[in-house]
Amino acid sequence: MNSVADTVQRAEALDVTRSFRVTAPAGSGKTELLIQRFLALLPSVQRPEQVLAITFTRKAAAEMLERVVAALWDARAETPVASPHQQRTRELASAALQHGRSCGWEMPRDIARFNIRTIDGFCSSLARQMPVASGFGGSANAQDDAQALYREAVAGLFSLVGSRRAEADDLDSLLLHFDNNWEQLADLLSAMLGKREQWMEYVEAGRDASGAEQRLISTVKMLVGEELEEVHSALEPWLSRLYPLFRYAQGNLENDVPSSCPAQNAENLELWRALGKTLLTASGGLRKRVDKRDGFPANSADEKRQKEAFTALLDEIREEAPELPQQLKRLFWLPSMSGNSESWRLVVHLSRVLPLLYACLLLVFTRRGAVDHTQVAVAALEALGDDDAPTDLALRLDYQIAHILVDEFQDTANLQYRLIERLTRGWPQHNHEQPLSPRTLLIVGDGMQSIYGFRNANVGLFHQAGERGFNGLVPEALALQCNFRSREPIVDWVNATFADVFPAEGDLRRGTVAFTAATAVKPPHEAAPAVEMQAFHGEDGAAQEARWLVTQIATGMADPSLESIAVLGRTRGHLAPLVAELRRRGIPFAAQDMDPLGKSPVVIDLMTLCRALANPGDRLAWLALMRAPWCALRLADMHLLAVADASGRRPSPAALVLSGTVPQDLSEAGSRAMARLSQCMRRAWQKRDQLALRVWVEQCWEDLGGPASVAEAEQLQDAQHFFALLEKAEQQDIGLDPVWLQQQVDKLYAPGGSPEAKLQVMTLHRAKGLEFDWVIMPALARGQRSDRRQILLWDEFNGRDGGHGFLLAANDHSDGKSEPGLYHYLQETRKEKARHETARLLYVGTTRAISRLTLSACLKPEDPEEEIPTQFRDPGEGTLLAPIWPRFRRDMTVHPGQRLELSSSSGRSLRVLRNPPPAPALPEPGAVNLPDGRNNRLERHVGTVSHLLLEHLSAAAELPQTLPPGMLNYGRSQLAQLGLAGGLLEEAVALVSENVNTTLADREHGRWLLDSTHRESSAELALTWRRGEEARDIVIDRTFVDRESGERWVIDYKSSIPPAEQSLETFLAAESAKYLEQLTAYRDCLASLGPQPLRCALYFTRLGLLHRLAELDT
Amino acid sequence: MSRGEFSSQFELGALEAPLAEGSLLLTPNQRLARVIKAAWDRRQAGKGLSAWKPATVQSLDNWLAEAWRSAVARGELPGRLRLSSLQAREIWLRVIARDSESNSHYSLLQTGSAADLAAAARDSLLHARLDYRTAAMRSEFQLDTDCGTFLRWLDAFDDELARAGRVTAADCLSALTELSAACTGAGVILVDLEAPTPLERACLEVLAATVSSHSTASGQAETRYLSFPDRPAELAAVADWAASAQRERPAERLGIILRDMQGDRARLEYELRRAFDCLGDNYTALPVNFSTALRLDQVPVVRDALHMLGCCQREIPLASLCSLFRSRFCLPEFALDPSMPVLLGKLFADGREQVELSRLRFQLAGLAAAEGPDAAPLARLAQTLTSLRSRRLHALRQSPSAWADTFSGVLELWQWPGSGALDSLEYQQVESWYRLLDVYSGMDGISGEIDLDEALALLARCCRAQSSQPKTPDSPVQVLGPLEAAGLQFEQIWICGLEGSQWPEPPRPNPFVPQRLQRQHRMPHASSEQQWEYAESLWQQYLGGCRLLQASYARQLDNAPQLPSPFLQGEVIESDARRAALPLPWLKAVETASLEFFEDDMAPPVPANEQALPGGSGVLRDQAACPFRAYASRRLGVEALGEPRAGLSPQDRGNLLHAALQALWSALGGSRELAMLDRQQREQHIESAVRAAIDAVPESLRILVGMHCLQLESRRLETLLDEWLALETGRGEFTVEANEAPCQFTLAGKQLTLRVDRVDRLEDGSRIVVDYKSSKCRVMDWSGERPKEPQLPLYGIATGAGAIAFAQVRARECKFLGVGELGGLPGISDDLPKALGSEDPELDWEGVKSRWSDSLEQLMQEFIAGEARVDPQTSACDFCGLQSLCRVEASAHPGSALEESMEGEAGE
Ligand code: SF4
Repeated sequence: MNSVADTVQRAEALDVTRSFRVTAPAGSGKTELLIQRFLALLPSVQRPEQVLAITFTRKAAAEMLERVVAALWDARAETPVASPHQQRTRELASAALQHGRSCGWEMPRDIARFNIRTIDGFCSSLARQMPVASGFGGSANAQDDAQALYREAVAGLFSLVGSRRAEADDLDSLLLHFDNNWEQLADLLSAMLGKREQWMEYVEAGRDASGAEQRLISTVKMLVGEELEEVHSALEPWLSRLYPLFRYAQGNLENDVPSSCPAQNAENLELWRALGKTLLTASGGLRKRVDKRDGFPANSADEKRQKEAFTALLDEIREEAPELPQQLKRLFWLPSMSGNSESWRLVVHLSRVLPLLYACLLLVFTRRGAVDHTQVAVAALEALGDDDAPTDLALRLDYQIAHILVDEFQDTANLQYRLIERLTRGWPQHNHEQPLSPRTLLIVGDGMQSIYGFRNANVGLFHQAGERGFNGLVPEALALQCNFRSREPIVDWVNATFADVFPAEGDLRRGTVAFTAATAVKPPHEAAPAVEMQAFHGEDGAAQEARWLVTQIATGMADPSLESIAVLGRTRGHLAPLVAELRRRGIPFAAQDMDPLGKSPVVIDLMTLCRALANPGDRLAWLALMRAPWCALRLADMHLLAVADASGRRPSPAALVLSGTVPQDLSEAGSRAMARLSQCMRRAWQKRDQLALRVWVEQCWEDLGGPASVAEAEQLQDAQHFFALLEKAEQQDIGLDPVWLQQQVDKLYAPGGSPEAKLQVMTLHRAKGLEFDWVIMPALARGQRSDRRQILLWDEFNGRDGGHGFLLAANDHSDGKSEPGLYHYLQETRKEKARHETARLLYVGTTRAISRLTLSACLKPEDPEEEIPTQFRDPGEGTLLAPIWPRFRRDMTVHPGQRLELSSSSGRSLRVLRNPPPAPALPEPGAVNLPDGRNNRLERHVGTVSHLLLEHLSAAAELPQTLPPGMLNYGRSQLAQLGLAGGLLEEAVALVSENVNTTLADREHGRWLLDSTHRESSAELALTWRRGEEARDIVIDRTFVDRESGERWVIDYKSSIPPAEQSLETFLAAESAKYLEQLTAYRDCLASLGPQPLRCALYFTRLGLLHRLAELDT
Repeated sequence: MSRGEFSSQFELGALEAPLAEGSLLLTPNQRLARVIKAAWDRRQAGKGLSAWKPATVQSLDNWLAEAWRSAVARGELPGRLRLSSLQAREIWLRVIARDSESNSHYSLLQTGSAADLAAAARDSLLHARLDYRTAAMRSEFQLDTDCGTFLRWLDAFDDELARAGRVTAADCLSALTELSAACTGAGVILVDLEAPTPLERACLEVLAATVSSHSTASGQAETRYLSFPDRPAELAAVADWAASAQRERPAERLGIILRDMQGDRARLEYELRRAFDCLGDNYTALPVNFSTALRLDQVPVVRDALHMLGCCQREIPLASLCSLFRSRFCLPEFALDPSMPVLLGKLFADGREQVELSRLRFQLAGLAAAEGPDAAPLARLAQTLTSLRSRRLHALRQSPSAWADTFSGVLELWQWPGSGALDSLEYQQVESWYRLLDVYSGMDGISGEIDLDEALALLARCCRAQSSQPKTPDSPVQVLGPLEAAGLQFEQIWICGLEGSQWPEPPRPNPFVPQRLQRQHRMPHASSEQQWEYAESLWQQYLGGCRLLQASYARQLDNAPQLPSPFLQGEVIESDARRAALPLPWLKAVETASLEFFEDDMAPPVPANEQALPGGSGVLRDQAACPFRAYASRRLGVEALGEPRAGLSPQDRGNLLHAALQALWSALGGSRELAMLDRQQREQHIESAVRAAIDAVPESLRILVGMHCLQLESRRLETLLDEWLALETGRGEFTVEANEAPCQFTLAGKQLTLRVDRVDRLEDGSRIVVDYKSSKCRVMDWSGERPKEPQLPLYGIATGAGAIAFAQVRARECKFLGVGELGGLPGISDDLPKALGSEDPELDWEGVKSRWSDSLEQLMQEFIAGEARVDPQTSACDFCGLQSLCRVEASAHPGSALEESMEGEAGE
């Protein structure tokens, strides 16, 4: 182990009284540093929540929490410590435990108290804890893919076209600008909603068009001025000789040019551009020779002399300043504001339409109860209040955040930056007042690994945080260099190669990062060259490259010293040839997110089945169902099912199959297959909505013979993945919706084997943070499909002298060659930033390697005929190879071109399942059993309350003549409690009083059965009754033993009356038949209470009539 | 009359004596009360009794509610209207809406969850017996926007309750505490009620003579701790364990506790069905009882009812309409109508995700005319929708109970719930729908008169709040949430999902009550300590409730590593590595499958008597692109369902452009007339041509895209035509001979009706055939064995013209692109070998035309013969959509180079 060079910096980073900005290159063990800092901070706070650690991904947060808790458990159990490095962690953990005990924390039991989260997780907890301040109103689930929400918002906006709203005519001009192609504008608007946190603030500024225009023009002037100053300083050494020659040349071209060198400001931009043109060719390289077209005629001796002087000057510049052409090229992008009117008019239209679009999006969030991550962050920012009305977070959370650690700071977007700014408000003043317990900030990052430009990450922020800090709290800079991961030869190669790829010092505006070299800790390993570069060429170059690499990998798999091998590519497309070769040669590998689920044949058949079950009207789905291997209907048979009849109407295949009326004249095999298909589908059709969605589709698929029809067993994993999707659809109340299923299936990837497999294939972005013994990066020269022209481009401009402004331009369809407008400039700077990010992506890839690194590319030879070409054309600007091309060209080994006979399967054969499972039985249709839906709500409530009042009356000492008002009021409140109101309530009260009064007026029976003096008299008697093995709970309205007759009476109140046309006898007979079974149960139950003979009767309260069921007497 | 078997689930033990003396047992929830009652029934039956008084055991909440009702009946408390939680929530919603209108500095995305939080906050304040009306308390609330806003809502809520004489459940308890000692005299035993709230304790003191507590937990179960690679593996293991345990010892009672019931229930049910083999015919015989059931609005029979009611509104989502077409709960079965494919095709072709009911009626009317007999299901659907509209429900404003009758009437119109062959579950769900209508009608006092949309929204809220709890028989395996399992007794319990960050639950204090207060008064879920005590008490009850307690967690959740819960820290954890395996029947099926390959590229030939081929030259284009597509789309009439899109479709825009140009040139006639026009006359010509095209747009399209879209389209066409005329003025002399003229042409014995866009005659008498195109065109598309764009070559041969040319009419890119024997015309090249990329240098016009007619003849013969092999040209499949029928993916070799966009879709 070489000695660890940066131990001083690592120790300093643990000083809990100071804030730091730590640059930690790849493999420098920054997670260990963060964990030690977290443990070191615990003793300085009263509650563990006061230390907030923010990571970039959920995986990183979980890993950090796991290692903190593990350190505390080990400290508590005093397990032996291996290295001095771990000893430091043990000391910090023990100190933290000690402090925890003294403060009464239950640590590490209460894991939830450690505030280690992702930025999204922290924002959603803030929004959840401040529902009103954040405007969320409560929990809303944040969706990762919010495209559906954006499209619905755009549809909402389009519904306002032609309305009387002020923004309607702005929307019209936008639509006209896009040739009334609503779909194209819809795509671009929903893409912009995904990035709204960047332009929202600027678009608000567009309220007063003229004021905004002036600010924009002055910003552009500032920008052009600074760029020209840079060009001037670059040309400084030669300007004294160059300018007179330039002036001479312009003279020959009849352009008058000021005698002395023009000032560097926007007015002289055209002059500087002309100077640039004389030096550079159209393609941007330094000119090799000049002629009269450039203003250097060679007729007279004097003219020849001027021409030689200029050519000599060109050679001198080429020698001394090789990077000068790159800087001069920017001259051609600098925007001249004159050509900006059309583009600016569009910006004003957009600045009025976009806020309305945002309002539509909020409506969608409210309707759907779902939001996207940007809205969660915006809500958190709202919750923290702006600078003039800050929220007192300490009061709200009941603890004051004292320390903040932020990992992977180079990937933060400016929304998160502003969040940290608001969290650290007032910290410098606090640190001044209480120097003993300062609040500190530690940000860790590596500008060289900022590769998330497409996620709005801005590498300049890491730079700016170091320079200006937050609210006046400026962190001290610390630079780690040790690389614990890669062996020495690889670290040396990376240092040497990337030293001249990255510029000398970082530039915030251009999005460039300075290079910091690393020092290796691990010694070199074995003899094989650590870094090798392979080049291939010719038409079959890609296939040859894949074949060669796979043979190398095969040997690598057998080499025990290599525990892990990784093939990293920029996109799936770049890795596809190699994956195909690995599959062809049967080498096992785990591919994370390589094969889209939607392309797997078994998933295509399952989607066909879902479409058919969802929409019997979908002819394509039902015919496709017949073509699948489990039915494999020939075209001849299918023709009979689908061709139009004489009058041009086509039969519905679903109707034929589901009604079992398949035409007879099919072929013998065809009709057999169709009969079986019809049986399976009819069974599924009859069971629809009776099974769980997943089970329903899965059973139908199994009945048809789905599992047996797959080409290979692995595809069953894809089917399993698909069925999990159906489960999720049912859980989210989406149900069987083929449109939703297709979107999911296009987005998801087939499961790619276990993450611990030796050989891994993944994209570069996914490899961030991982390490492998041997890293292979193929197809480095493959180009990129440039993304569509955005309708709006914007950028923040931060001048060197603190000048600040925004640049906003709309795509005005001009190609920018003739009159370079602001849009063209912003587009070029974006491309330049993308190139810098590509270099960083390459850096991330190469720093994954521990012992071996293999880079390979397919190149275009200058002369295709040569067996082993020596001259190759430069790779495209946006490729991964471009930044290190000079070095790659020097050290690469070129492989001889080979013509490979590629086995391309041309024939399209279909598969048929010869032994499908037997057709399942059809479920027999159940009997008609509809519950009674009559809405007799009023009668039921009247009955319930009448029972209640009669119960009270039967317990009263002496029976009143009529219903006392107090009890009637109680009855009214009970009726209201049951939900009756208004006219219905009054009607019910009248009925109740009629029921009770009729009973009270019935001297013969009414008052007799309500008499409380009977023996064993009770009302609403609850009993449990054993009948065989069952216990049944019953409630008897009224039961007593008659004083005179000694008979035990069981009475059930009924408030119903005979319908208009029915006679009393038939009504009584019907009622007694209806309640016979219930009363027999009551009688048998009471039989055990005593020897008395039992009498059962129904008492009709509204008729005042007792109806004895004599047949039940005992 | 409720039925309950003798479940041998619970040993009374020490509770037997007090029950016999008639003292009152109070449990935390009704589930435990039912279980104790069943145990008491078993004891009584054991003693030979045939009828007895039911055990005096009930949940604390029910007992307190009854105590309040009897106090009101006795007149000791004022008779207020007690609100259900659903009714209280409606009042909170109204209060919040009114408050956010009056001070507009905030508007909430989720007023629903704000109402729930507010209701919970008020209850916890009352249960902690905090008087929030004192100045000190109110000032603490004012310190912060959230609590301050909540205080305003609280005052408004209390005013409304006081005004309307209403109370919530918590208010009833507060009222009980003010009763003079009217205790019922009986001793009260709290069973497993660890921490009653201060308010509950105060009520107990007033109402009960003696209060003692009893814990059913007895003894200490054996424990076993396991970890699994991920959640699916864990749930599969639980299901296998339950199935094997149940098979070996059927009498044993098994408890499965899901920490994340909402998230894991669906997957566990599936795994249990697979383990108990209850996926197929014995689907309903699963011996497992789930404590939570579907919400009423998720249940199919109610979901479809809500969709049917949704048809009273202005528009309905297309997905809901499709689900209605296949519903079992309305008559007649629309899905089996032979013309359903035509209707569905039209609805999807509109490209709208929301279908307007007027549009649906229009499409149905169009169908019915072609259909004939009245009995067809779709005709009945048209009748239903028309009579729905005639009821003019939009104009109504009435109380919920009146709406309940109206909605029942509408459902009758749809003949809901269908033919009536309901299974037992659906029967109960229909009954719970009728009960729901009662609850809905009970909202009269709260909502008053509301319109249709508000009525439907209220109905949806009521359905969401109601659970369709079916009364299923008591089964040996119970799946419960952590709280529901408290106090129950099983032989074995398995609790799964105990990840460190989730068990004990992270604290979730109520945002509307100051944190300090919540911690000080130990309000529920306020702090970590409380969450630990709460989890600890549940843990002890589980340990006391079974012989063997197994606890497990998933080592990884959506690929972030997880720690075990602190309850498992320091214990021996068996790490299980098995991932959820593929179902055995599938693997067996793959082994025993006998798959064969077959070629089937020939379809029946076009019958001889079919002289004319509909579709003009499109047949040739499809046959060139891919023979299977030509056969499937032209002869089987199959096409993919349309995708959602906004505005005019590309075909509509193309037709409008053709119509405008046709109108323009039929008015002008030729280049001489064009040259004579001055600026102003030219504009008039263009305007009238465009107006003619727009007026010709069919009524249905006009309604679909709206007039404004067509106005924008006309402004676009005017600028485009102006740009095109500028190009045409640059040409030499010509007169337009034919304009959208049909012409017959026989090819390989079949007659094709062609529609030629335009034929120009030049001064020297030669003619050019012009075809308007709004998309980018390439001359190379005419070359090769299977020309991608065969129309113009066909027109060239049919009309014998001297040249053929695309007229690319595209904004900013207007140009002619063509080839011919005559040179010197803008955009038309006479250097045929170069233009058509052929090696033969002497290729002349006649040679080109003869080569064209050979290849077109060949294509037509192939089509007529029924040649339907799957052989797409490059990018032919992109806009085809027939992949599922032609199965091109299934037989394509894997790993074909696919081009990806720049983003690598990184890890999170
Ligand atoms: S998807 Fe491709 S292969 Fe299939 S029919 Fe269409 S064009 Fe032919």
